[in-house]
Amino acid sequence: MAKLLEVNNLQTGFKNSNDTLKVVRGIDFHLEEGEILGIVGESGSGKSVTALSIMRLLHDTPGEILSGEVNYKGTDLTKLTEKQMRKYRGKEVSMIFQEPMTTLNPVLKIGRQMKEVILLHTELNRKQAHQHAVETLESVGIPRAKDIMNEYPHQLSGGMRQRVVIAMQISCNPSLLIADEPTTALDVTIQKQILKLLKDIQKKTGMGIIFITHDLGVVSKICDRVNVMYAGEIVESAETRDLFNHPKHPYTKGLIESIPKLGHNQERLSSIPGTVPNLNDMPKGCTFSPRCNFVMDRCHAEHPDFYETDNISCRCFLYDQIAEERMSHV
Amino acid sequence: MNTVTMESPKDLPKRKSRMQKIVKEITRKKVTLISSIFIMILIIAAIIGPWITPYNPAAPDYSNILSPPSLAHIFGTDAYGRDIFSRILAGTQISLSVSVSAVLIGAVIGTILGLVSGFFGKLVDKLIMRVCDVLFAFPDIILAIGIVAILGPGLRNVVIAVAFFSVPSFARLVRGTTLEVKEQLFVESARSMGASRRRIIFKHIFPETLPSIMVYFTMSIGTTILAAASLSFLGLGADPSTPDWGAMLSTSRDYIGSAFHVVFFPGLIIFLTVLSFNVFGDGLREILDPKLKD
Amino acid sequence: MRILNLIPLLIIVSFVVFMFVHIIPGDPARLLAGQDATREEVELARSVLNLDKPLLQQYFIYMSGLFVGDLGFSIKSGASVAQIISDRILPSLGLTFASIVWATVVGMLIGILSATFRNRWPDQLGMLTAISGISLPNFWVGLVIIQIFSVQLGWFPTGGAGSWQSYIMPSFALGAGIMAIIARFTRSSLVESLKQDYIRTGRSKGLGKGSIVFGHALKNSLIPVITVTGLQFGFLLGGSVVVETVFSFPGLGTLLIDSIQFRDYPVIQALILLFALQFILVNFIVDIIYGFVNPKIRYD
Repeated sequence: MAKLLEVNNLQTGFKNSNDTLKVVRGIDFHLEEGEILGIVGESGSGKSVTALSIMRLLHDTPGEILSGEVNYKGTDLTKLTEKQMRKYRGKEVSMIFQEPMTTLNPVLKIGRQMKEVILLHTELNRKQAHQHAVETLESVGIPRAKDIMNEYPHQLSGGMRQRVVIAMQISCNPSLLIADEPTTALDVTIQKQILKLLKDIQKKTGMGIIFITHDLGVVSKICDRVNVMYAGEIVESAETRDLFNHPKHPYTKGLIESIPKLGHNQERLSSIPGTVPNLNDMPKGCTFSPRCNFVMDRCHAEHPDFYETDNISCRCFLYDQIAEERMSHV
Repeated sequence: MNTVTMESPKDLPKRKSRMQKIVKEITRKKVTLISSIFIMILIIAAIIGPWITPYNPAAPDYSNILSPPSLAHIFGTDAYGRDIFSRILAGTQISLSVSVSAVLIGAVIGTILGLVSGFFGKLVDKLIMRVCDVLFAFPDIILAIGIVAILGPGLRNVVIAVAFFSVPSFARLVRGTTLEVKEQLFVESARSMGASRRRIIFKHIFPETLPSIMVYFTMSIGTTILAAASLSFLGLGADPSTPDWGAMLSTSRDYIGSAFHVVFFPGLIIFLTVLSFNVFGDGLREILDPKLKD
Repeated sequence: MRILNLIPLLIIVSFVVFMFVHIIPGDPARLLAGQDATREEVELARSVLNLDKPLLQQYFIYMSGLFVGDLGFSIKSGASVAQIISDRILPSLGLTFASIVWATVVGMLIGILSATFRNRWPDQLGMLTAISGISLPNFWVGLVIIQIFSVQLGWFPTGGAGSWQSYIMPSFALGAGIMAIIARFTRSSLVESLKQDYIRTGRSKGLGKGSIVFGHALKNSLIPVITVTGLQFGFLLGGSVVVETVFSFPGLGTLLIDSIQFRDYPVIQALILLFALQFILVNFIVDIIYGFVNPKIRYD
């Protein structure tokens, strides 16, 4: 498989009048063609900012890319002008968002919002664009797609709206779809339907999907591979199966334990004590050290690198020891 | 809810530091600071203006009529040879007191009506709001002209007329905040502790409505100065011989081709005064009501 | 439905205006008959004015007169009030219309520029223009532009309503304030719209700045702007009285001022009613436009 997207040492921050707050602090990851990659983390971990950085949609949130590369099919998106970038958005790289109630324009008909993107990126005329819009709406499982073209967003349910947003964003056959918490605002049954829909779309079109969520349960259902983000860094990266079978990083372990398990009568949901550190007050050494149960002296002093264990890369000194032990055995 | 309206009125020390914070905020933004300095000068001029005029603002000097601005008369003289600068200075008192007293009357009556309407609701509320609707149906100046037509021209009647049309805006504004505050927890608890209605209204609700009243009050002074000047300009307000700014413009109209300064300076002062109140009101709004920023 | 809501307001407003003639100091019958009229003549005038009948009956007569366009007779000239007003209404409507059109177009343009270049120099310039526009006394603006463009440059007539050129300066002076208000509201409303999630969606589709502002944000921003324009229409009607006076413009505003000077109560009464009706009507139209722009209101 070829690499669809390769992100190298991406740093994104918010510039203040006198200093810069780094939200994404040098991350590397890649996405194969046709792969579904999960990015998991608590709110404040920088996962949404990563998504917005790839799309170059940061300037609403006065943020900017400080350094790094985002290579999409061999083109570094960070080097493009805004005008060039526009040709990629919606056509090559699309994005769906968390809040389906507000992501559609309330005063424009669904049809207008659907056709707009098709007319912008394809050679189709108005009539063909209309036809294509209806077909795309049908393909995401919207009944009476023709009627809905003439309706306004507020006439649809949340789940339907999210389907419309998905249809809108895949209508120009992008190779990469970034889904930023697309199911978080929906109730459980609708959540399942939307996940299944995204998986079906992926199978049918072969597009790569980056799936951003705080919910590891969702990841286990849909993703091929997972990156766990904490405080603007990737702390663990693995195939989904490996990650769930042998989680390495104490943070990941905590996240997995906090997934409510059906059937198990848990006394309480275990969750990780403490919160993500403040941007302007990052702990020295390992950023997770203040919350970590396995913290060592070294964790306060040094910043951990990635260590490979059981097909998993993990930023934690625990696995450095393992590596060292092995080294000594040899 | 923002922190300003959530603050409990009982926290007196907090209130004091809030005052300091407001003053600090005012000095932080340049335009707000400049406008507040200009307003300060106006207030001083209104208080001591009539005693510090370089010339007697009422004394004609027929040897020196309509003379253009010079070192002796920086704004020139009018058709009777009176020093325009002195007249403007002496008129500050009239123009400011007319608008301030009109808005004050309007604000007091409107606030009471708004509090009563919002707090008691039901029939009282319906009745007061209907009356406001009717008053709103008449454009401001037209309403004022109608009232002056009934009462006759004169500054006192201008005050009444302008106060009259400010009432419904204040009533609506205060009613809106009252409804919001009424639902808030501390009113509920105050009521359950057996506080009297009057106490709830004046100790709990009124302080919460104060920030928006202050902002609207400041903004209204600007509009009111314009309205009062318009009425005087139309010959319905101040007597043409008084140094009221609007009246000065009204009498100067006839000399527009020959002596432009007679028209220019009184209007400029009105403009700058209204501008300062509007800019200051804008700044105050940003400080007191973060919701309204932008 | 909305028309039904209007009816009670119209009835009360007409009653308030009807009462006007009863509140004024002095005896209208004596005014009509003249200062040195005999007692009989005053009584005759009283019965002509129906002032001898019970109040409710008077109101009824007044209202039924309104429906057939009978607004009474001018004390000053004896002509029918309807006739006097119909002679003056067209120039006034033209002036109001010209003012609101340029004010809306320019005001929205400044507002859009300010919002798109937020906190940069076009914004600062635009908002400086706007707050100045709100603070300018319109009669002074009138006098200053007469001095510059009529007296000095001779480009436009100083007054009257003889040709289209004579509408330019008055509509400029009259529209300046409302233009400024529209500019401020367009800006703040557009800034708010541009922060919404659907704007990010639009950008994620690859739309350019133009499509974002004009295609997506502007329509959402129009809702408050339209409301404000409607409310500020009263400001325009009031201002027309002042501006017409400055330019000696033969409209309803100057008619009102003349009538007040002559204490011509039937004319004043009719004019105040007319101004109120215009204002109510405009806000009614605004309500309807509002529904067109906001699909939620239409369907609910």
